[in-house]
Parts: sequence; structure tokens; C-alpha cells
Amino acid sequence: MIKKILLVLLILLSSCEKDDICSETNTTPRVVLDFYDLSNPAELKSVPGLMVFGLNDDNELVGISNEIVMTRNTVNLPLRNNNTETRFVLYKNYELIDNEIFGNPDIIKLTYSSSAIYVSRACGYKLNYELLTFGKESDSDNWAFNTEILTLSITSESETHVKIMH
Amino acid sequence: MLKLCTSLLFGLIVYSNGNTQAEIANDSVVHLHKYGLRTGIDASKIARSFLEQDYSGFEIMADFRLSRRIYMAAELGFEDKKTNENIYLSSTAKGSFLKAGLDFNMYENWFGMENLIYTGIRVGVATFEQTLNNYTIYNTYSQTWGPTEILSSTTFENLNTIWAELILGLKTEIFNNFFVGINVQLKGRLSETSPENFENIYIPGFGRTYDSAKIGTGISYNISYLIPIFKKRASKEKVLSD
Repeated sequence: MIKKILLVLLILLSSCEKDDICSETNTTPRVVLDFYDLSNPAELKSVPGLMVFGLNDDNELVGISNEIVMTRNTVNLPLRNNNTETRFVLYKNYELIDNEIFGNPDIIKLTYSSSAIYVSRACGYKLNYELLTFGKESDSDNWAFNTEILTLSITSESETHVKIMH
Repeated sequence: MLKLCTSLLFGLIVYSNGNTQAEIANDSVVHLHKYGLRTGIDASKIARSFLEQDYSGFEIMADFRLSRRIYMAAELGFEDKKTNENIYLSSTAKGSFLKAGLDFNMYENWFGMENLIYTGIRVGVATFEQTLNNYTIYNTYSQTWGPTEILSSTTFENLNTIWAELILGLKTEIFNNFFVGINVQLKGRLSETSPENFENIYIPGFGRTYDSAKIGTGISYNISYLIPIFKKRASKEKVLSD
């Protein structure tokens, strides 16, 4: 009798394991930009040699992790969480020769509000954003002509948030 | 903790085995059972309050014998526990709880003994508050701009939880009317109020919660004293004859 009870006690005690694994799909989403053809806005159009940097308050370039020079028609960009605006420099035909950047830079600026959303005890909180404005700074040679916000709520990376026509 | 538990368990078992020399009962000896109010404390909560920096707790318990096997039982306590789940989340739960129910003694005592191996059922109620101390936003892309920590704390008040509990335990009389015991508890949440945009990480009396299920577990090492009120003849009990 006592042995049986001891066994049950030990099984009960050893069953208290951590079940807290946070999956990466629950992370704070990045903003998704898709590039479209200016003459045919329904058609995706790749940007040759696209390379994106963040731009900090001192107008210095900030490298984005996993960002590489690549011809593509979509890019995911992380927003600043301790600020309500983030600027990025989008280089077309980016090339780095002798530490000098060649290419056509266009600066975009996003303003947004953010809210912390509780996920689980393993993940804690993630942020969701509400996009307020999206604009590009004019320069002498803009390659990105037009922008269009497709959705104001940035809650996942499975949908496109902003469309850029070039 | 587990070591302490098992060694105490073994101690109890060795003790109860060593104490089984049967007193030879004559038919003329009337076997009386003690009835009364047993009051006690949970020693593990006191020990943890001293040993663990992020915990303080206290629990008193009482049971009253209704019949040969059945006891009415209740526990009342207070817990204050800080949970640093991981780098992302730190919270503190603070509040009191009450559990009430029945214990059923499954143990066939030798003549004159008053030990228990019992199963119990309880309904537990906790009222508490939970403070979200600080958290770091979960962001796997935080290398670019740096991690975001939110250090301002938020307190969620007037939270409560109701749960059902199954208990399995031992109580051994080591001196006259003085008992030590251990029990383990398996709990299931029946209803709760959760804070908005957060959840109950720790519930006083219930323990920590899990993402995947509404269950919880608990353990208690208790020390109790029986205040005998009256004695009752063991009418249905088998009397040893020579």
C-alpha cells in the first residue's frame, strides 16, 4: 500500500516540467514592402541590386541583420521600438567599391504607434504597430515614385503593408 | 526539495513500519478513537520563505473528524511570489487563498494508532493581485535597433481563481496528538479572472500555471496538533482476538 502511494507521489512530483517554448512565429512583425511596376501597378517589379539600411537620428547608416544586396521585389524591415518613427535608405544598384557606396539612395520614413500584445508566458509580449504615415524624402533622383499603404495594422509578416511603385 | 521530500517520506514509512508491534487486544479492552480538531501549519511554505528570495508564504490548516474515516478539512494561507519566467517577463503575484473539502482515511490502523494515509478533495478559492514588473519585447529582429525593455510596472487587482484539487497524503502521529505529514496535490482550474492583455502566471494556493493546460501541482509538509474533544468507541472495527 505504502509503496504504491510512494510511486504515485514520485510520478506526480516528476511531472512538473517546463512547457514553455516560444515559437518564432510569435515575434514582433517587421514591415513588409513590395515593389510594383509604375506603368502597371498590378505587377510586381524587382529592384536591381536592392540594399536597405536603417537611418539613425544622426543620419548614420545602420546595418540591418540578414540584409544583403539582392535583386528582389519585396523586403521586410524591423521598426524602431523606442521611437515612433523609423527611416530607411533604399539603395537601387547598390555597390560598395573601396568603402564608397555607389547606387541611387531613396529615403523613406514611417511613423506609427505601437502596442504591446501579450503572447504567452514563454514569449512574453510582442509589439503590433498602427501605421500613421509613410513617405519618401524628395531628392534630385528618386527611383521610387509612388507609395501606397495597403494596410495600417502591422500585425504579421504574411501580408504586404506598403506598396512602392517604381 | 525532492530529496527532502523523499527522505521525509521514507522516514515516515520506516517509522510506521517500526511501530507495528501489535498490542494484544483483549475483548475487554474498549477501543476508543480520538475525535477533535487538528490544527497545523505547512512547514514547507515557512522554509521556502527563508530559503527563497522571491517567495514568502504561510498556510494554516485544520481538520475535524466526522466519522471513523472521514474528516472535514480546510487550509487558509497567503503567498507572495515573484516569477522571473525568462528574460522576457517578470511578474509578482500576491494574495490569499482558502481551500475546503474532505479527507478520506484509507489506512487500517492497528489498535490504538491514529495514522492516516488519505485522499482528499478540495475546492480552492484565491483572491490576489498580480504585478507585471518589467518585460522585454519579444523580437527576434532586435539586433538592428536593440532590444526594447519596458520597466514601468503595472498592477492588476481583484483577480480570483477557483479550482478543484485532489490530494494524496500521509499523517503520522509521532508524539501524543502531534502529527507530521506530507501530501501532494493535483489541481485543475475551474474559473478565473485573468488580467487584461496578460495572464495569471502564479496563483496563491494554486501555484504556477502552464501555457498548455489548466492544471497545477503542489506539495505540503505539515506539522499539526490534535486537540482531542471526545472519544468514540470503534464499533465497526475488527477487534483482534487471541
